[in-house]
Amino acid sequence: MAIDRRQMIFGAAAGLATGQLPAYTAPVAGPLYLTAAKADGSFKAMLLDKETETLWTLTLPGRGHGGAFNPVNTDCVIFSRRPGAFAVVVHRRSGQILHSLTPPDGRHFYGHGCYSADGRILYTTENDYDAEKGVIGLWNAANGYARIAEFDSYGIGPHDIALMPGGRFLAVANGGIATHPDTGRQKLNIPEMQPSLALVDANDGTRHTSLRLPSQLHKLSIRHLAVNNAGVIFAAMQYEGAADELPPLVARICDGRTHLLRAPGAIQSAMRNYCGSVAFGRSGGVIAVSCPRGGLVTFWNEDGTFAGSTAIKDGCGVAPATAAGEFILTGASGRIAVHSVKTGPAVGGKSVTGTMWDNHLVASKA
Amino acid sequence: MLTIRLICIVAALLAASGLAQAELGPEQKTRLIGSLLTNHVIPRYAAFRDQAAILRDALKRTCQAGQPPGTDVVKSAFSATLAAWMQVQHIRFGPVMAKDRFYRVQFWPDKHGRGGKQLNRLLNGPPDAVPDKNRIARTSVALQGLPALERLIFTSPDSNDRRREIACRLASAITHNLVQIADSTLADWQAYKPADAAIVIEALVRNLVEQLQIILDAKLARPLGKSVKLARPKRAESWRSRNSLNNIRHNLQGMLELIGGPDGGDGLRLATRPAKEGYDIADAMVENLNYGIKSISGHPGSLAEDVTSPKGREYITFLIAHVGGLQELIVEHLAPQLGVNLGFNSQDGD
Repeated sequence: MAIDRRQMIFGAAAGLATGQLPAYTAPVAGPLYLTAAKADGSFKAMLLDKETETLWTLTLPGRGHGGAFNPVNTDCVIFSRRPGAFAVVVHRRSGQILHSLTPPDGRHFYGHGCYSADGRILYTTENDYDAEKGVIGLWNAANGYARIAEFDSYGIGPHDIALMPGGRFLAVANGGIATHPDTGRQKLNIPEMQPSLALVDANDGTRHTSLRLPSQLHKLSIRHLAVNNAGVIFAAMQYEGAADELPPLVARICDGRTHLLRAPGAIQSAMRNYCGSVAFGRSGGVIAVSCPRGGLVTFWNEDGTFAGSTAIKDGCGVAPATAAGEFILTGASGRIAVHSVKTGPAVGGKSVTGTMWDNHLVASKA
Repeated sequence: MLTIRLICIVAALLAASGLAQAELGPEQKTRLIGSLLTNHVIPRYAAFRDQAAILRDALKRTCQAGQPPGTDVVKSAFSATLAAWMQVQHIRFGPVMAKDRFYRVQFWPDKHGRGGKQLNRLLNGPPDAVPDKNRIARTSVALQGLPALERLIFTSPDSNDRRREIACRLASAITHNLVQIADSTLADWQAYKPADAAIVIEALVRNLVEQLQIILDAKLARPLGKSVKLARPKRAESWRSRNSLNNIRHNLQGMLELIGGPDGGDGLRLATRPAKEGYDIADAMVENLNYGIKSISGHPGSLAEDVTSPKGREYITFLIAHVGGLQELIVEHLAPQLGVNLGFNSQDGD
């Protein structure tokens, strides 16, 4: 059952959004997948079912990026790509817009966010650009998504954010790169960048720990992360140093210790110093890390050993499929396929003509 | 005139759209990169090194004569060095990115005024605190390069003897360091052997798009602001030496050589499809670049003045449209014909 519900958001203006829930429509067997895309020449948010069929499509005022599912109700949210001016909360079954969020003055979204364990708070990574400081915005998801508070992200350029199991801490990938809306996406501090992974108390915003990479790797931007139920974090990184250096691009963080991971031989260089997205499989034992510049997705075991790779042109979106050890992969060519880490290259799948799948494919828990 | 030009660009886009051609083979790509390194990259970095050395020597003579750094001879040597750098500013891969060389030559925009603050601290401190030519290489990138030097050379001479002495010492250390950076960068380019020509072509095309974006955002739109009242002339690149528009002219000159082909070699245009029905995408790019270069040469004002007058703002707005058209030609036509996937997901930094 594909509901192609095209809706236009006029600008990022608030006011369109209301707190009214749409009529309940037939439940869809989960999990669900939220993604941004470019289709028919405009930017969209799309919700897919586990068979990768489109449930609804929403036209966005600009390019989308990451997203999140509320763990307790039917809300989901899609964020605009940095420097982002909007986020849209959508009813996951009907595709109806519930709220449009705009960042407060002097802030822009970085493209990612997550909910608290009780679903009452939405956390968003943001740039306090005049102070050149990363912040985490807090929005009251239980009451109209009002802006309620702001935490320090304890670094410059916070990008991805995830809630740790137990719900007490937020893991924040502070990419370390300063940008300012006046100069678009131009990087302003490469020689001085200091990326970090910060664990921040989800209730009061205090810092639990900041993990930094060895100083010779200070140009390794920690951008995306994924966490499993055991609290193991995998971070996917992008290197801003010289192209002929081949630093590790994947980090495994467990019990406060960081292990930097390298792919074997030629694959490490094929990753082109650039990882785009990371996700755990359903069982939490296998991890997919996409490398869109290299046109491949790499796989890793939870213990940090390498588990293989597969080619996909301009592929970036990775999300757990329903079976353990299987991932859904998406690419800008329109290709979307289920890949099994054990049985090798993705066969089948499909190419959706005219649809360019964007960076992230976000899976609901169930 | 402007309208006609824009119509031409639109016509070019229409004429070229929908056409495809087989991309260059690996051997052709290797030959193309070899030619670009020999005939574009290496000579341009050599010219930058030579200008930096002339500047160093001019400054040395000026300071030895007891004059402040900002004499006419030094000023013109500075502007020539800056021009030489602007002709390679579009290159942001390979040896120039190693050891922070690119940023040590020019850290800009310097949003928080790091360079100015450190410079003032040194000018008001004891002369012994001024780093020498070796130590300066290990100080902040904001203090090492052309922007710091420009402040020392183009700020009105100080009546205070001690500060003048410090300015001379510092300018001397910066120019010596600049020559060292330029020397080692050139040597590394001469020894540069890319393993994969396709990756270098991709880097060059990405760099072109990025450079044009920087011209659009940082060099033009940011000082322009939304109105005369919101114009910020001091946000312009090299406003102290009144080189803001010259810089863009030299940027276009460097890109013209890369695309159109340097003396004795092929440019990236080699890979574009030949003229058909009287229109050629490579011609459109070359013409667009030449037009921009000529237009800036014939424009009397400086960018810092332009952004504060309605007539000047019209000109800057026109330049933005013109450079934007060029970027579109590269993204929509040159990149695909070179087999470069600028990508959707593989774009920078998400």
